[in-house]
Amino acid sequence: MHERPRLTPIQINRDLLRSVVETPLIFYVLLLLLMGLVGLGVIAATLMVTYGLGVTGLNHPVFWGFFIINFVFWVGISHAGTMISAILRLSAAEWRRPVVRAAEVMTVFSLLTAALFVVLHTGRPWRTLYWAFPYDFVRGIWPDVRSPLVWDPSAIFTYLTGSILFVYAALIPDLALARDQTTGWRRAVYGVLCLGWRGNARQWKLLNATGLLLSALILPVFVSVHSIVSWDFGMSLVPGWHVHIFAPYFVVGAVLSGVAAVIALMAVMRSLFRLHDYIRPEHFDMIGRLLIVVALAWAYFYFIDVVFALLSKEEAEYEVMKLRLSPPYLYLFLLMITCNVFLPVPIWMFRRFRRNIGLMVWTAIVVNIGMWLERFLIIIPTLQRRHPDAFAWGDYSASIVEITLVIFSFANVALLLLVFSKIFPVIPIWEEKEGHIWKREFRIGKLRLPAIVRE
Amino acid sequence: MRLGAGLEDRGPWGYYAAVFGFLFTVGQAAPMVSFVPRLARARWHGPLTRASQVVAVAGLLNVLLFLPLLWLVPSSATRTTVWFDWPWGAPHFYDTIFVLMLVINGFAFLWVQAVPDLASLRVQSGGTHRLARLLSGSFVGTPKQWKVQRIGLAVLGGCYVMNFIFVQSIISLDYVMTLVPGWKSSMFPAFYSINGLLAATATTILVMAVIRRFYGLQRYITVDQFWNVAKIMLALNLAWAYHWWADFLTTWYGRVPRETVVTLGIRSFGENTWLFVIAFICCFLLPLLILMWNPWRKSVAGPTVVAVLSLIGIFIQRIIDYVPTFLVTQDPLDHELHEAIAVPWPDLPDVLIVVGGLAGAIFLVTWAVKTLGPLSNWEMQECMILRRNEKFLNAEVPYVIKPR
Repeated sequence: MHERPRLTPIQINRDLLRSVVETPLIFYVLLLLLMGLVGLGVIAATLMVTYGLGVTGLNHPVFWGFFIINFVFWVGISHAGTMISAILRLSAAEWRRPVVRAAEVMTVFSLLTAALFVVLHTGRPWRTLYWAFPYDFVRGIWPDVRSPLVWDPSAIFTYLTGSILFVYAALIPDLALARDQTTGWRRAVYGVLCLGWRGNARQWKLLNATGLLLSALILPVFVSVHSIVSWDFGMSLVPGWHVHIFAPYFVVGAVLSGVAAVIALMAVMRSLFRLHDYIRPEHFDMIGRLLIVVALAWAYFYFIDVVFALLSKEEAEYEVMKLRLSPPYLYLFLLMITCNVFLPVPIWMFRRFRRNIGLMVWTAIVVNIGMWLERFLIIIPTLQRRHPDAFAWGDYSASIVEITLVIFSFANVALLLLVFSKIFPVIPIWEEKEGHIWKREFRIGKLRLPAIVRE
Repeated sequence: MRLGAGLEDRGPWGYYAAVFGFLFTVGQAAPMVSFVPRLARARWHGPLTRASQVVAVAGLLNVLLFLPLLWLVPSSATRTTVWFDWPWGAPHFYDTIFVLMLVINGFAFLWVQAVPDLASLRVQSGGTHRLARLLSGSFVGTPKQWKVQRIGLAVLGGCYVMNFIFVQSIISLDYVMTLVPGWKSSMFPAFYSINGLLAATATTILVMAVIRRFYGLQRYITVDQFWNVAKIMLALNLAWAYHWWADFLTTWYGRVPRETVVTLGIRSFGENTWLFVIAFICCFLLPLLILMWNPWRKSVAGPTVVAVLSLIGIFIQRIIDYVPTFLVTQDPLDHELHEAIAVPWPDLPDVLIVVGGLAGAIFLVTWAVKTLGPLSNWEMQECMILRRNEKFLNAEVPYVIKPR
């Protein structure tokens, strides 16, 4: 990496452990704000549980609303961790080092939030248990294991378990460092968590092997999770949902929203913990390049989805797509396509813009607005269509409870990330040091050029 | 022989179309392999650049093969088509334009990449090499010329990748899917393109292996190139299986009769099970079992064997795509296929067409390698300058220099 400054191991320790050992005032302000928003969400959820799903805008036939949109959205965001960590680790991309942990942790918290929304969607959360423990054994009412709705929890919990292992394995050397740098009860806690890490050659060898193995193993899970979420829709025969391309299309969309979210997270970390020497414009530059490819791939899949709905000449499919492309959804469609492709991609094409952190954050936010809208447009207009057994088209307006819970989801993930950053280093210290050790400069002609090792 | 039988009946032209589909996939896909590692500044791509780009010359044959097919695809007026109510010329005019656009893009990409080497050849031959003199123009290697050449490569490469995916999708829709009444799988164009990307890596590995063996270039084309491309190829073998599985599962679970007739009956487990099983083994199962082991991945033989298997699998996939499709009788009043169609055995003209098509493509590529040289000298030299082996503690590790 070209712009990496010369830093000593002591400086790196001090800078990257700052978030753990120091607590700036802004931390408390953010903590209170986020806790307030989460508290509002808890009140909204309590109201819904008390009075039932009637306080939401859900109705027949629009029985999936903001909760499911949010579920799909957060599962999508969770794809950032594996994309950044596993794929970039396997491809030995040097620029991954400062962003991997934040991305991995975001995966875990996003998945937890996503799972929470499925529970909320049931209206009576305890009923979720009936899935796992059928209440009527005598009449043989069992969960249908052939249903994609049962595949979902399997995929999500496998991914969650894998992601937690992934985060934890990479944390071990840093936990040992925190153990050595702290005193009292903290030292004791870190001492237990670091599993007796001493940093000898055998331990490093095992850690590297574990990292590579987990990276390779988690990739199929990563692809399967959003594929299975897409099959919640695709396996049905609902016109507009029974689309063959949904699996790769959902996965690519998830990567787009997840990696864009990592940009925003990197910028916040850089500013909040003064990590300017570690998260540099060149990192935003590299992620910007990656996003160009992902955004164009997403556009390709979306284009195919639209063309096939119009091409099929099947009345129901055609009606649903026509609804999506007619006012008022037309405006949302145009906004979505602008947010996901037409606005950010031309910006990311230019190196100068990719290195402008403020602009990159705005494009990342815009992409995530677009991706949320995309899920909205997949779910709501499709359910609104006139069914053969209904007399009219359905309608859906989200209630204040649902809107509050959507805001809650964002606050919840942010709060969990903030608390995590107070307990653990947000940038892997050992990976950063490894990058410094591998760094070289070579003279070619009159220039001294940076070089990286090919692992 | 085929032309003698006329163009009224599409049925006998199935194998011809399959050969076109295969060569169009292979010939037009390979140049992309040089673009991606260059974009990532991987610095191991130097020796494989020419091997991948030179395959673009097979585009000449593809254009010729495409001409009879123009008369075999019916007008878009009487059938479901991607062209909807486009103005005159659809699909024939636009398809031709797109095919030509991709072939020209491939040639331009190859030419811009080869200009410094041609200039070098012009100087070495004292200006007597007419082709080098003509194609290298006034290139003498000034900083401005290098800058223009690099920008040209980036722009042409980027356009080529997008162009390839677009044209493959359009041609596959026009010549395969929309000719079968009732077939509706949005996965098909993406799956077709994935086949193309897999063919690209497989062809590049195969051409590299042949060039390495017959030109004695073992010192230049090393195991490193095979190892790196093999990783990409393994990812594409897995992507092939994933896309097939997603398509298959959606159909199988959905149980919509017209979908099961086509996707299951023709393309997977039905009339053509044996063909599909061979394609599945060649494109996924054996590549996975071979390339999952690093010692086999990090060899010349392992990736080369998988490349051959993948190309066989893709060729069979093209047969499954085109041959039954061309046997479907188009009835404008009946927008549904009611029964699966088995792939017939090829007759003598079919065998000759297959052999001749493949031989023609190999001939063109061999001629181009002879004319332009098996390696790109300037890119080899650049990669050698920008890669160093340095001692680190007790080991020697490779460093990659990355200028801004």
